[in-house]
Order: sequence, then C-alpha cells, then structure tokens
Amino acid sequence: MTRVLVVWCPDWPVTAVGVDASTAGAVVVQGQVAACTAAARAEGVRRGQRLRDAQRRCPRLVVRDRDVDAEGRLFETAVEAIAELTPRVEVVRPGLCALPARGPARFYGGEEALRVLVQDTVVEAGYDCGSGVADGLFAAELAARAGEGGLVVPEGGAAAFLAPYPLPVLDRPELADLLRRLGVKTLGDFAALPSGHVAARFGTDGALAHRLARGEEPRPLAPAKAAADLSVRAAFDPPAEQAERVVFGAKRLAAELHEGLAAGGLACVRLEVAAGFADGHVLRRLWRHDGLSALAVAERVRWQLSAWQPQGAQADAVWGGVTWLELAPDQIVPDEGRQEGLWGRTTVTDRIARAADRIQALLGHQGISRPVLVGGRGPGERVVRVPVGDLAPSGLPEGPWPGRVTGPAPAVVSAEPSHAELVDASGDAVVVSARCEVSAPPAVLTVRGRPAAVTGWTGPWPADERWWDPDRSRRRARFQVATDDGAAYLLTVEGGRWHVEAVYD
Amino acid sequence: MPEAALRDLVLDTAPGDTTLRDTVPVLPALHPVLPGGLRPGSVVGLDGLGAASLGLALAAGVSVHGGEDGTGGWCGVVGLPGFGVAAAAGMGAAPERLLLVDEPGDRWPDVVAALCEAVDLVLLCPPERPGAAAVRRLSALARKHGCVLTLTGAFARNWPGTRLRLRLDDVAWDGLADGHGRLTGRRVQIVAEGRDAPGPGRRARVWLPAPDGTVKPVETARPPLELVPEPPADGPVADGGPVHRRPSGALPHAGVPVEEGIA
Repeated sequence: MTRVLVVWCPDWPVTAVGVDASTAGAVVVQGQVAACTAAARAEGVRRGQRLRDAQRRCPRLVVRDRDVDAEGRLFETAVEAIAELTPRVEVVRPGLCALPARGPARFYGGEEALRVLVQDTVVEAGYDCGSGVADGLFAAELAARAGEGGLVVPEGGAAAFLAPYPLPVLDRPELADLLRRLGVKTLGDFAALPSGHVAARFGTDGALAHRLARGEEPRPLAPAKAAADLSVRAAFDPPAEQAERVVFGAKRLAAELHEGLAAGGLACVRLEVAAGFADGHVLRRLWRHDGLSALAVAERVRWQLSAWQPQGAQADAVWGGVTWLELAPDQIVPDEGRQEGLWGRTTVTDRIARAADRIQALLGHQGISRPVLVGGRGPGERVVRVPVGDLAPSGLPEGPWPGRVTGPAPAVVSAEPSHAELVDASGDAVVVSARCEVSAPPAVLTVRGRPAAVTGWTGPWPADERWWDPDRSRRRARFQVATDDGAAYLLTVEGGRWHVEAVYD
Repeated sequence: MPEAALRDLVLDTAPGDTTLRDTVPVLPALHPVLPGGLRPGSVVGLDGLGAASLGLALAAGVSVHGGEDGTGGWCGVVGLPGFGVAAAAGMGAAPERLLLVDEPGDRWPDVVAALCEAVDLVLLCPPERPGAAAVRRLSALARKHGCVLTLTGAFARNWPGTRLRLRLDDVAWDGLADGHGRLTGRRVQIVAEGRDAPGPGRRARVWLPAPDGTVKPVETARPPLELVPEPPADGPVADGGPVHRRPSGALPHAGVPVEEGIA
C-alpha cells in the first residue's frame, strides 16, 4: 500500500479569481454556483445553487465567472512551493495535488512532521490549505479535508477512518442513491458487504467503489515494466558561455530524443527543457511539442535562454555559463501521426505559433493576445483580448444592447480614458443634469492641453449600467463631438468630469 | 527519421515562399493611392490626424486579401493598446488573425523581430526613439521575410529609410449637427508621398470610414438633386405608396440615403 500525502486548497476556483476567503464570494458557471467561499457557505450558499437563490440568501455575494486557466496557472505557484521540498508532485486537478509520502517522511522526520511542513509551505505561499496522509489517494484526500487542516491516518487504518463517511463522498450519485435505499448508509456498511457479491450486483464500477470504501487502491496493482527513460542530456565542459553552443548541442540532443521516441513508436505532447548553470541555477520550461523538428526544438532552447538573459544581467546574478542541458519528453503517447486541416477555418500556423511562443517567452503569458468581438454598449466593452493559446471566453451575454453607440466604430479606444474639458461659449464647463439636460451648447473642447472649437456635437446618450450593483454601477452620458481641426471624439461625462472614451481618428 | 527530415526541409524553405509574393495587398478603395498594394519588406510611415484609421485600413487589407493563397493574412500590432479592433473588423479585418502586443516595454525590437518572421504586416508604435541598431536589424528582417513595417506614433518620423508616407488631407465628418445627429462617415483625401510615390505623390478621395464602417471610394459625380413637385391634390395617398408621385417624363428622383447626409 502506498502512503500518499494530499494537499487540498479549499474552494480553489474562488481563490483563483482573487476572492478572499473571508468575503462572501462565489464562482458561477451558466448561472449556477460552481464554488463558494467559507463566508458564503455560512450564509447558506451551496454548490449547484442557482445564482438567483444564492444572491437571495446572501445579498452582498461577490460573483465572478469561472476562469479555468487561471486556476491551473495559479496552482502552479503552490505546486512550485511544494516541489521545493520534494520533487515528485502530481497535480490531480487545480486545487488538489498529491505526492508519495514514504521517502519524504523519512527525510523530514515522520509523516506528521512532513504533513505540517507541506501545509506551512503552501500557507506561506499565500494559500489556505489542508493536508492529509493516508493509504491511497482517496483516503488521503478525505484526510486532508478532515479536522482542522487535515490529519495523518496510520498505516492500515484507512478502512476504519473511512467507515463513518456517508456514501456521497464516493462521487457516484446513482450508486449512493441505490445503496441508501437498500439500507446501506456509510462507507463502513458498504465495505462490510462481501466483495464478490458487490461485483456481481453492481458491476465493475461498483467493485471499484467497494475497493475504495475498504481503503484499498481502486484497482489491484498491475506491476508493469517501467517506461524507459527517454530523456537525453548533454554536459558542457568547459561551461558554454555563448547561447550558440548550447543551441547547437540542443539540436543534436533533439535528434537523439526523436530517434529514441520513434524507436518505441511514441510521440510526446510536451517537452521539458532544463538548462543547468555553473552556479547551480536550473532553468526549466515546458514547451508544446506537436511534432517539432530538431531545428524547432533548438530554436525553443534559444528563446528560453534569451528570455532569461535580462534577469541574468541583474546585479548579483552570476550564471557562469551553461554546464548541462536536458530534454525530457513529458506526456508520452503512442505516435498515431498527425492530420493537418485541409482547408477552411483559421488555423494558427506553425510560423504564427512560433512567433507567439517566442513573445510569450519574452513578455509572459498575457503579453500577446488575439481580440474577440463581443457585445457591449461602449466601444471598449466590445473587445476581449484572449492570450494566444487560451480558449476564447464562452457564455458571454448577448444583446440587445439598448443605448449602445451606433455608427462606425472609433479608430482609437483608449484603455484608460483621458481627461478632457468641455466649455460653452461663455467659458463655463458644460454640465449635464440628472434629467439629461445640457446646460449650454459646448463651444470649446480641450484635449491634452490643446483647445479646439466645437463644430458639431450630439448627446447626451445616457448609460445607467449595473445600477443594482453598488460596486460596479456606472452612470454616465456619452457625447459625440467634432472639432474644427478635423478630429471627432466620443466623450463621456461621469460625476461631472469629462473624459475622452474613444477617438474617431 | 525521414519525417523529421522532411519537416526540416519545410522549415528551411518556408521563408523562401514569402519572397515569391510580389505585393502585400491593400483594400480595393486604396488602389488609386497604392496601386497594386504595398511593397513587401518596405517601411510605411503614418502621420498626423487619421494615422490610426490608416493603420486600421492597411491591417484590414492584409487581413482580407493577404496570406499565401489570398484568403487572409495575419497582422501584428505592437505598442498600440488603443487599436480599434471593432473599427478594423468593420473595414473587413478578421479579429482572429490579429496579434496584439499592447505593452511590449523595452523589448519591442525583439517582439517586432519575432512577428516579422510570421505575419504580413506589423503595425508599430515605438515607445521610444528607435536606435540605429534596432532600425537596421528590423528593416533587414522585414526585407528578408517580406513583412511590411507600418510606423505610427510620435517617433514614426525617426525611422530612416521610410519610402512611403501616408497622411490624410481635407477631412470632413458627416452626420453631426448642433446638438443632434450622429457621426456617420468621413470623407478624406489620402495622400501618399515619398520615394515609392514619386513627384507630387498620389491622392485619392475615400470614405474613411463609410457609414457602414467600410472604406469606399467617394463618387465624385454625385446625382443632382431635383425639385420635388407638389403632391397632386386628388385623393388620399395609398397605404405604402409614394407620397410624392413622379409626373411622367420627369427624371427619376435621386434619393440620397439619409445616413450619408446631404453635403
């Protein structure tokens, strides 16, 4: 039986979108609560509830859309913190990761010491978490959720630990419902049934659940020959000072790696490139590997090195040249060949993907984006920028958008509206009353310190948005103004201040 | 490993394909001022009022007619967080083939270098005065890969080797009055100057944008307006019929769409 340590960050989808555990918040998918904070739970918000019901129970609920990518990315930081202690961390899903406990427990002085150490490490990284040690993943996950921050279930004690749990923890609603009607209420009751009869009555899945309930591995261990280590490594002696030498070595290594993969009829989905420096620093990065050639792999090594150079140029960082380079295939799958799209649909071509990868290596994941047009009233709300590689957002509200700005779209949509001044013929600021009456026809518009006479104007077009939400409500009026220098602006007045929302440049 | 070897070959020959292309296409309305399109690898400067719209129009042209088989090319936009995606889409651009790098910071030469190898047109607003080394490197990369480098912003004039400059002249917005109406379209004269448009340069009158958001040539011969005759006194007007009956023999009524305004 393998000893497993599980780290569980509660309500991870909510944490990932930046909602503090002490504020009542929830993440919704298609109008249903997918996860909520402890504070929200105390007010009666539950998973699967409709948003309307949840807001009725807790009127000041902070609601966010679910961001699966952010969950994965943010959890990476927690995993990195754990990987500092012990390298073999398996991410079960964002918010839950597991590691084999036996080796590390011996090193850190016992399972309880390891459990507390891992928990403290994640808490120091800034995330609330529970951790538990038990036989097998299933029991360890429940141990992580048990008590105040988890506990250690002694070896062989998994069955006794699991016995009082109700059946829904098996995550098989149909089976749980059937067993409840048969009078079986807890995992202990279920585990007491003879396994042969369970298999005959409930099939393979039932037998699997039965093994879980008895605190055994979900399926009997199938000892198989370990996959051969296909990673390749090259040492540089003396350390390579120039990137060229490393890249040249990488090309040779990549050819070696591809030969090894091809001999086994395998392909890899991702490739981990690790470069070790003379002072002990190691640069690791995963790259997508959808049939990359040796040349393309070498190119990625070059980007990886160049992207890190500015940090190397910082004050006390001494890198001292690359001493070794390792290419490790990750996620190995049988090579079934690739079929490219024949026609139609915009596909991200190899060249575009390479350029995007390279820019993301320089500027980070958010550095390069593709725009998606969505619905909205103002010109700035009509565009969502999706980082290259991420999926476009779905489930965005559709129109109609009463009060939207019609006509040709403006050529410049300022990300941060800039300040402007609009005055009438007598030099007084133009004011819009609560009843949308303009105090006087505007005469002079001053943008960036340059005044220009107004030749045409129209408005106000009021936009009273999200009046039901005090934090995000906005009440403003839009104007179109043309000036004598040939420019035209979309102006917004909000709280008595004028802003340039967009320029018809 | 024959497959990988083939892939290497494809990678090696890919840049060669781009040199085969003789022009980078533009929107049909810009043909009088840019006959045939833009020269691959050239540097185009956009100046003054309307530079943003010109950039959108050039990007839209590549996005619609560009690419290796003419079904749509890719554009990179560097350092322009205010790039009007909706306006570009109105001119015909496909937003999914735009790559936006809003905040390149001081790594902008590297970003442009990476994009030059992949896209047909890079619209760049340098955040600082471009250094001589960056100018040489990027111009050479653009020439090698046949990518058009379009410059805008405060430092667009500091780029030596700009062979073509585009600007707007004679700008007139339509549709806005004193307190009513809305902006519907703009008639401009596009002026191309520089070594690629020798002599006095080339000029063309276009709608930028037209009332439907596209770019269209301005028809110089406008249909004459005619006096509408008095409605006939006999009988009420049939439901759905014309209010003003045209007397037989008179010229057809020249309707000017309301959106375009009457100039």
